[in-house]
Formats: sequence, structure tokens, C-alpha cells
Amino acid sequence: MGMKRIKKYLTVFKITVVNDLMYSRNFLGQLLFFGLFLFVYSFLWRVVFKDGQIEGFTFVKMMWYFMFTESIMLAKFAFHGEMAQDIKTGDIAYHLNKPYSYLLFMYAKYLSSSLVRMGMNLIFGSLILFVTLHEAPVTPVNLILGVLSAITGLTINFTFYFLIGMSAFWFEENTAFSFIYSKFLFTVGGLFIPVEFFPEWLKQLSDKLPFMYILNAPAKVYIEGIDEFLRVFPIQLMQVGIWAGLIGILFFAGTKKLAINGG
Amino acid sequence: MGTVVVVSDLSKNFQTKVKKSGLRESFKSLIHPVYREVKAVQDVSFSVEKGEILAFIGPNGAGKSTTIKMMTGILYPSRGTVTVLGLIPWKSRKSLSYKIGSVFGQKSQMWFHLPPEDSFELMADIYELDRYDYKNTLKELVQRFQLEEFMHQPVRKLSLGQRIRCEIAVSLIHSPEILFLDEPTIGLDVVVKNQIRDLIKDLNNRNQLTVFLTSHDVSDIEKLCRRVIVIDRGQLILHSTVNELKHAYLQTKILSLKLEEVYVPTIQGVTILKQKGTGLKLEVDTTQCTLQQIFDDIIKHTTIVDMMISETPMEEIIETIYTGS
Repeated sequence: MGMKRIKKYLTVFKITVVNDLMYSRNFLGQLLFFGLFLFVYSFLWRVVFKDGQIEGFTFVKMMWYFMFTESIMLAKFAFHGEMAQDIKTGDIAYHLNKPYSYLLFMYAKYLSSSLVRMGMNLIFGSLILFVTLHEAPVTPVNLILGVLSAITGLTINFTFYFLIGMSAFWFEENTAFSFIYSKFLFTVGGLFIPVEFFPEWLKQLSDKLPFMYILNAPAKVYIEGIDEFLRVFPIQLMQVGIWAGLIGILFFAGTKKLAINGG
Repeated sequence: MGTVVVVSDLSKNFQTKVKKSGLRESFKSLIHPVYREVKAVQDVSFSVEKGEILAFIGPNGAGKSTTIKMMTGILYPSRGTVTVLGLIPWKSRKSLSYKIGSVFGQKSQMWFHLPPEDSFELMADIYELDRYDYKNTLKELVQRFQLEEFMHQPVRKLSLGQRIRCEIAVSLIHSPEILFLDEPTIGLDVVVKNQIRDLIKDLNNRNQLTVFLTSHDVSDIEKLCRRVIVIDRGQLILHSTVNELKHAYLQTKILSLKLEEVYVPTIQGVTILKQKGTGLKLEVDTTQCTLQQIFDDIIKHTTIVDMMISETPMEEIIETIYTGS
């Protein structure tokens, strides 16, 4: 891909950041919600961890873990509803007659928007935890590796959002897919409870599914560092490869269906 | 000149699911879905010359959008062929997209919360434009479309007229050879409509830009186009110049007369629309009698003090074509 071809997606990325920052006050509500979550869960985990450690997690570690998973969870730019609508109404045609890849265009937009929000969530969440807990079990290296793993996690999530949005090529109603997917993230994704706390069979199952590589894996990298990163990052990249390949094939089939049978 | 678009025997059929109302029927359609074939476009043929503004009109659901989608490569036809600027659209969609521009009146390509200049920047990169060429084109477009005063205001704060000016300008940033305009004047007031029409006319004259226009506004067609194609229920029902169209459908004239004395002519082909004192309004079918015959008849009986001859408005002509089809 030539430099000019890459530049168009970088411009989409840049323009989305500018667009999101135009309404930075909108982030305030999300940050308040995030703060409230941290506050409520700090009470819960304080009780749970009153006797010490669980599966290597202390109360402090647990709070930083939760702050990180929630930062990713709340950052995801949910474009799948709009995409499904565009497919149903045929408006996707306006994207297809422009000289760009719709998949990469949406990815640039999604990643940009999600990263801005994740950045804000991480800064705000870290500040709250520093002020209230006075300790952080993470190093700057952990932070960099955690963010790298989170970007990969967000990319896996993108492929799922794209799949859900794309399901509109074949299904009239797809809100159920979106609902089920978010529940998987809540549970086997390890949003509230780390996968390590699960019974062995569920832990094994979660390990085989992609959901924990979106939330649990980046948060574990964040609190545990390089060893965890080296373990999970190749799996994350593999996941991106698998799901990106799948959406590539399905999107081709979907647009072919659209081209043959209309919107 | 030269032909830039050739459409031959173009047809498109769709399969749509047929579902009767009621719970029972819904379950039935889950197990045995029934499909019906819809003939969206049937054997449509036409061509467009370079530098022409062609009106492509028809009632809602006539097949206009389907035809445009096939011409821009988004839909494959069921039968027939299309070449646009020498390319087969569905085989060379990406290559073609660099050579054509499109404005869909109801679908914005601007970023709603950002000033227009950001959308221009993005489009410049999307079309992989050289910076120098881009700056020059932008300068020219800003001047011609008078965008200077609101280039730095968020699009959401622009009036509809300003936004449409931006939409057309942004679609021209890559200097396309053909512009597809779908309802460009929808929702605009008369003054802004005329401004937009003048701009389109100017672009067409100066840059030899070919414009493929769909519109429900008959004035757009009357003021901009030399040729018109009417499509209904997927079929091409009329293909003529706007002048021919007027002549063909201007068989009736409205004659308003002020006479010196009361007189009502009784000639075949003349219908009395209104009579009040010495005032008379007649509808004349010129295939049955000439205006001269009417004047001769009236002059025999009284003097004509004042008169006005008006033609059937274009709006009614189009309505007649639609209902007649």
C-alpha cells in the first residue's frame, strides 16, 4: 500500500480525534459514570479481599485491574448499530463509491475515537486510584505494554463490532447479537471479575474464546508486565488475524450480495 | 464532444421476501420464505455526451437510484451493459470513483461537527490529490461557491443552502469528469435554488463538466437541462429534448380574453374554463383548432380588448407523463 493510500486513513484518524475533541464536555458524563463505578466496586472488593490475596490479586491490584478493563470497555466506539442501519437503508452505497476501503475507513474512525476515550479514562481512573489508594502496582513499562495490548484488544473488538454490523446483510434484526456479545465481555471477557477467579473449566473455556483477549489480557499485562505481555500478545495478534480474515471474506460476500440483490 | 456514458438494455431484478401479516404467516415465512421477483429496471438504454446536463427523472420508486447505482458500480446489472468514461462500473468501481463526483441531497458527505475545510482536507487525501493541485482547486471552488465566510464554521451551524454549496464544492475537489446530482435543490428556497442552478450551469459551461441530474423539481430541469429522460416502473418512458417535450405536450393553450361585448365561441376543441361578464378563459386544443380560427370567430362578433396566451406549466407536463405511463 502506497504512502498516499495510508495517508487517507491517517487523515480519517486525525479528523475523528478533532471531531471528538470538539465536544470534550460530552466526556464528562462518561467520566462521572466511570468514577461512580470505581467508587462502588472499591467497597465490594474491599470486603472480598479483606482476608488477603485471591489468585495472586490483592485489593489494590484488583482495583487497578478493574480500572483498566473498564477504561477499555467504556472507550469502545460502538459503530455497529449505525453500520447495520447503513446496510439496511442502502446508505452504505455512499461509502462504496468512494476510493477507500470501507473496512479500513471504519477501523481508522473506530480506533481514533476509542483511543481518545481510553486515554481520558486511563488518566481520570489513575488519578482517582492514586488519590484514594496511594499506591500503584504498575511501572511506566507496564503502562506502555498494557496500552499496546489494549489497542490490540480494541482491534479484536472492532472485528466483532464489524461482524455484528455486517450481519445486517443477512439478518433484518441484529440487536440480539450486540446484546449477547456485550454480555460475553462482561462475563468471560473478565470485565468485573478476572478470568483467573473462575472455576478451572470456565477458565479453560474463556482461554479458548476471544473475549478475554479484549479486556482481561490487556489489564493483566498492565498489572503484571512483560512476561504476561509476551504470553498474551502473540495470541492477541493471532486473534486479530483470524477475525480480520473472516470479516474480510464476509464483507466481500456481503457487498457482493448487495451488488446482486440491492440493499 | 464525445460520449461519456453508454447504457444498453440495462435491467435489474431483485428478489424480495413476501410476508403476509399475522403471527401464523410470520412463522410460516420463517420455514418457507416466499420470494417475489421485482423488476426494478427493464431494458433501459441511453447515452450521455460530454459536457451535457441530462435530467433523469421519474416518480418515487421508478428505478432512478437503481440505475445510478449500476452506473457508479455499486450494483451489478441482471442484464445489459454500461460504460462510464470507458470503464465498466462494477468491474472498475475504485478507478471510476476517482473520475466521478456525487451529491445526494439528503445524504451529507461533510463532517457535521467540523468546519467544511476539514471535510475538504479529508476528501483531498481520500482522492490522493497532490497538495499543490488541491490548494489551487480549493481556492477556485471557495471563490466560485463563495464559501469564504463560513469555511471555518461547523457544518451544523450552516444554513441548508450554504451546506449544499459546500456539498457540491467538496464533490468537485478531485475535478471529476461527471457529476451525479441527486435532488441538489431539495428543501431550498427559491433564491438559493437559483444560486445553485447558476453554479451548476457555470461549472458546466466553464469546465465542460457532464452533469447527470435527478430531481423532482421541474424548474431544475427546465432551467438546466437540454435533454430529459423519464423513467417509470423501471422502464424508460420518454427520452427527448426539453423543447421537444414541451412541444409534444403543449397541445393545449390557455387563452384569457377581455372582450368589448359578451360573446362565447362554440368551436370544436375549445373548452370554456371561466366566463365572467366580458372576461373569458378558454382552453384550446391546438390539434383540433388553431388560435387563428378562434380569433377570426371572435372578431366577427366583437372586439378583443386584451388577451393573454399561456402554456401548460412544465410541472403539469411531467405529471401528465407520469400519470399517462
